[in-house]
Amino acid sequence: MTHQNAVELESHLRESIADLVAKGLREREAFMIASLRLGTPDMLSREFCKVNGNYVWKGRTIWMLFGFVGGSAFASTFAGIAAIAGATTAFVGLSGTSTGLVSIAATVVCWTILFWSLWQGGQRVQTGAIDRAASFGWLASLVALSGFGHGLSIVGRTMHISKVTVEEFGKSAYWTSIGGLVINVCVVAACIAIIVLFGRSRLEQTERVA
Amino acid sequence: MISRELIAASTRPLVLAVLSKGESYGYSIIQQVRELSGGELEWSEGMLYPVLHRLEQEKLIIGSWKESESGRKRKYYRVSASGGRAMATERRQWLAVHDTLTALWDSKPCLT
Repeated sequence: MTHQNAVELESHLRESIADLVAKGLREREAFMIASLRLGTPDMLSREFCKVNGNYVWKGRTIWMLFGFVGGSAFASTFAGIAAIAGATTAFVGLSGTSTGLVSIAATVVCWTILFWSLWQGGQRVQTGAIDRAASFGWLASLVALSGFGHGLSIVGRTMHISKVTVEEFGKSAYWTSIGGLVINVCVVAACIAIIVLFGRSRLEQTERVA
Repeated sequence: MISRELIAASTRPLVLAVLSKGESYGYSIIQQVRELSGGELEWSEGMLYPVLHRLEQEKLIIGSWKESESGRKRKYYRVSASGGRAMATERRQWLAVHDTLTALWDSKPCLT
């Protein structure tokens, strides 16, 4: 729905309420009846979607682009962090296997922090603590992050090549194999599990407080 | 009460007909149709606006923002020249349906 559509509907709703109040209803009752007559938000957005197809798809495409840029920015940042963590472990003198494990652990921690903060942000938007429009500041930080992420992954890769010998890292070069796929799936599952478990305990806490 | 399908089909000619009487806005169009139909035509009010916008896109009606008496912004619509022609077509079609049904329902059964 465009801004003008919303203004038009609001004007309609106010007029309808004013009429009902003039007939002797209380403002609250008038609002309920007027919004019932106007139709449910679901039905309204469905009907407006038929007319404003272009507008709706423009919004969707922007969000898809936003997700794509964000996803790749975060992925490269986290890959860089994981590579640096792995290289540091190798530099300290631990074995090749622990180098791989440290990289995986770094990835899990990074993605978990990201999902967790997104979830928290979403909840704050829902409860109205943040204005939804203000969350578009994310776009600027995403662009900055994608630059930073690429720099970080270049540093990480250079460190990895110079510090981790191929023999040492051979066993943990997992991302091209089927085993690597399984590990990646496990990483995602672990992230989700951590968020769900942590979220549930938080929920119980808030319920107890309430 | 008129069925949903019939209401959906008749919205377009009704809007054109109301606007051909003069410039009007969404809420007022709904009020006029409700009064004229004696409450038989009960629109789900939000449905009218997408219809108005569709007609505006097809250039059958022209919309313009104006200030109402209360100082609130309000969008007024009026029929364009092609809107007038579209209404004439709609009128012919609806009258054809009406005449056919009337002829069928009013005719005496043939006893021979």
